[in-house]
Amino acid sequence: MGSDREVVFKICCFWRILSLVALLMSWPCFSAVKVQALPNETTPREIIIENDSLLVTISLDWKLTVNSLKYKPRDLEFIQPEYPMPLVGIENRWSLFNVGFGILNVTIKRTSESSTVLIHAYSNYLENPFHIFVQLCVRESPEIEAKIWLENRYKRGFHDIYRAGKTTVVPGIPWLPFLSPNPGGVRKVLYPTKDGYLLTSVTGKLMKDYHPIHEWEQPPKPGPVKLYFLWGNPILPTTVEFPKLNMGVFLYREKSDIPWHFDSIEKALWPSQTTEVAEGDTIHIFKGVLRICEGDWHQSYNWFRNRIRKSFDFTYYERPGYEKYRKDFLAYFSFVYNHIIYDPYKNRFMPRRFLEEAKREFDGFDQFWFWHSYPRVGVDPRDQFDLYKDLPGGIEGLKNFIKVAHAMGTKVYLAYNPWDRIRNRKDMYKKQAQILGIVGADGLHLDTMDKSDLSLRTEVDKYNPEAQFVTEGRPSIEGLQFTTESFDHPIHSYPMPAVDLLRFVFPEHKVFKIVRWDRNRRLLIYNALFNATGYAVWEDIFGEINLQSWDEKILISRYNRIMHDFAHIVTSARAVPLIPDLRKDLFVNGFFTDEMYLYMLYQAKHDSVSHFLDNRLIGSLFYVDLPDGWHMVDVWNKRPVEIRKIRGKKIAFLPQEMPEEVGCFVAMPERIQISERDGKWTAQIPGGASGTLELVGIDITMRNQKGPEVDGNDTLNFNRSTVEQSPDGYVLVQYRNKKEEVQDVALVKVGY
Amino acid sequence: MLRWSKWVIKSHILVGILLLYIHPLKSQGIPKGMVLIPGAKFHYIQINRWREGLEIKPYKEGPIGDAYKEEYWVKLDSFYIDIHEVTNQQYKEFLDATGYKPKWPRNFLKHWQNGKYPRGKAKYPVVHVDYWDAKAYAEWAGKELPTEAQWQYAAQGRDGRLFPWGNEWDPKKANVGSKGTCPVGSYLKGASPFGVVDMVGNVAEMTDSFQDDGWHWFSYIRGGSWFQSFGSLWYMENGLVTNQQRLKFWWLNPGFNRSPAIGFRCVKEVE
Repeated sequence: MGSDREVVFKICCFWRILSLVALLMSWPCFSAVKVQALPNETTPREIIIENDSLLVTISLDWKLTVNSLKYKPRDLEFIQPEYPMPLVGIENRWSLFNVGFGILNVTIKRTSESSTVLIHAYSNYLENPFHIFVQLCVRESPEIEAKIWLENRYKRGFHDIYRAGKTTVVPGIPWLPFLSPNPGGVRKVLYPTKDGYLLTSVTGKLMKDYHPIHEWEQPPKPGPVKLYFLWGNPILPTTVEFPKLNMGVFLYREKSDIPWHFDSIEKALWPSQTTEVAEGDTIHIFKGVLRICEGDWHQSYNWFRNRIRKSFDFTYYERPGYEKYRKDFLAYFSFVYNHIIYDPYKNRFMPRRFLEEAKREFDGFDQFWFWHSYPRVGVDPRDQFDLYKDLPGGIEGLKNFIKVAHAMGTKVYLAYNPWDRIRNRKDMYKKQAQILGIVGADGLHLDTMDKSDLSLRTEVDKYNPEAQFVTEGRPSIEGLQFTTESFDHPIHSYPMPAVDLLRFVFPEHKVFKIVRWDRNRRLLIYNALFNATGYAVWEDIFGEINLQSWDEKILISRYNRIMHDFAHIVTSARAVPLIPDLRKDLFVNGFFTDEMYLYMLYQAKHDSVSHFLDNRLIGSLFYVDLPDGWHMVDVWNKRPVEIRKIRGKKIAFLPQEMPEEVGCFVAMPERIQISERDGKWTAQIPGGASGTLELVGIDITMRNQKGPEVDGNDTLNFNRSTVEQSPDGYVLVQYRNKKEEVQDVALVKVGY
Repeated sequence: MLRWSKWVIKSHILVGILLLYIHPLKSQGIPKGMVLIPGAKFHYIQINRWREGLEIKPYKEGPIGDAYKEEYWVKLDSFYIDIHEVTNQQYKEFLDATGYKPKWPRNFLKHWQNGKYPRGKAKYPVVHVDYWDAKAYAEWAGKELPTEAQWQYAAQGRDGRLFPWGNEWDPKKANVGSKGTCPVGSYLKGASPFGVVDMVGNVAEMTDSFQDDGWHWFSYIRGGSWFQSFGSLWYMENGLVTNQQRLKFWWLNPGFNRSPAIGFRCVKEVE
């Protein structure tokens, strides 16, 4: 008997274990997202959606609102009870909030990965022919995927007693103003405007209470920061950051009939658009994502970055030929008949003389954008291709120009004018590609072509697959995939500190800063440095002259040297815009590799620093997560930067104010050892090294001057008079590896 | 009535003969193929028109147009001007007389063969010549290229009209938008108030406005030509232009400088 019981017990145990295993195995079949309709799914008045991160309560009780949005990991409620969040805003005679849309059908779909709720709202009032659909999908992440659309189901003979078929409505997405875990606190908002993005601080409670803080009015505080990416889609999420909580919420629009560029914060937070809907028409109010994230606005930026990079085709960036273009920073764009490039007395180009002069003045050009056609085309029937034959020396003359330029380390791009169709050629791409191939040019300068054409790329591939395209303005996201370079007019890039997000989202893509008519281009040079983009010198603008001034040439030359010395860092994939810092007037972009960190700094309102406000840029600037044994140098101002430890954290500490509003801090392992005895200095790499140790002088204009160099195994000896000292009495000792990359910089005070 | 009008005509002719007799510039003193432009002080309006941002319309009214416009008073002494553009035949005479050869011959008289203009093209305006080729001819002929003011006054007369014949564009009065040049004087109805022909159309005309901005050489060409570009805002417009519009023309390299749509005419001082 006992044994029977044992057998029964064992069988029971077996079945229990089996059922437990089965339950565990079948667990994924039930979604990690729970969705519940109360009191039941047939006539729901409330829907609760829950996953590990979110708890969302949607009320369908006479109005369609979200009454609760809880972020579970931190137990934070984003919706205040007195301000439930409308799911959709339809300004009409009957808004969605009241009886106008009393009939609500709900469909719930559950899969192993997500739960989807589709709410269909409409009215039994004859006057209201609109049907609204709200589809919310929640997966495991703290985000809600939403799709909202409106249909005009107007029926003749039914609705026309009260209204015409075509009716005006104002659909909107009124979510962000209602989401506030700490009402009244300061928050930072990043939102799209017509010409870029603004990152600005606002204060106030909710909705109408938002007040932008015009911080530019006060010298020590920053105002809105301008960021810019592409002119069209995709558009960065509108982000509201709650700095005190270190949390944020963002709204990403994938598709919408509502224009997604706004001229005020209020409109950005509550996007809406007066729209006429004809009978039978559908308006796609919104398709996108609402997400809660921990951290600052960088979280939404990173989410966006990862999302668009995931679907981006990097084939043209990964081709081996592109590698040598990535470290190009300074371009010269020119009409080619001015008398510094072309000798009219001898009727020939002078590439050597021109490039030698450029080396002295600008520290050399990486690219020369050869412009031969406009504004000459149009005078007679010759088109851009005919004109090649009439160049000084014809095609051979151009070939020779390129040959000389190559010998001097400069690539040559030819101009392509897509609008020039005088000859009505059917084979323009082929013709252009052939010329490029014959003369050995390195790329095409795509005039007016923000929308590049893949068939041109394909044609060029036949003649020179290594050739690159540099296009005017910002390419579309599609064009960006095969247009590896672009030059950006200053509509977006001029104001400092303007952040070029294209450069950060796609560090592989080369952006050149350029301006046409401005007489003062100092800020644009700073902008190129701050964003670590390229810069294009444009002095001969199709025959009109606008020279860089002597002081701008110095700045460009300094910029050029830094970009080349640290090209391996600034082209890094780990490029972070506006890293958090400890001051309101400081803006820092960071570039990181395992061997070196580089920070580009810009101090806003540098000129307004006041001794009354005690706001000089001295002391703690930003946290740096540096390994032990690393040090930091400002290679722009040729000044030391200290690394101090405060409350266990390393901080970049400036002992002395920067003389200019920009700086370039480089952090790296300390390799060079400097010793001094009786006014004589010795630099060496302990243990020896395979690279080169070089002494760099700094002239009165702060330009680098090449000094003696030795093999890394040897010691470099120098004294006060070996090379020129900076105005502060410094010289540089640099260690370069075999790839010519600077690995360490030591600042040595030899003067005074 | 008829008797009265005959009397008026007769009196006008008499006055004309009298004026001719007493005027120091007697008609028999006017060089062959030229016309006298009496000296005057005139309201000079010039519209800078070289490229981008301008519409394809021949002239633009309003603030944008005004931004490209300059105006002032100019005093001109009397001068003679060629009634029509210098022709192939005239240029051939110059070559035969001087043996002129440009230093850089690229595209020089490209439309000629073996040093001869094509059969039947004697009266066509000479093209494929650059500024220096034109200056050489003018020097040989004892003439000069017209200044911009001279050219414009000869084209617009005293009333500042937009086109030599009036203020309305008339395609029947100028060779614009065609397939090539035509014999000079083909559009007599398009003559200016002074009887100068082809001021607008046929070939754009060089003026004596050569400048060096330190980086380039340039001068202004006037009157537009037979060649009308189309299809883009970005073309340098050398087709339909008005009397006031000037086109900045960079003298680049010989191959570019010599164009099938640019020629010249000359002026001569009145002694």
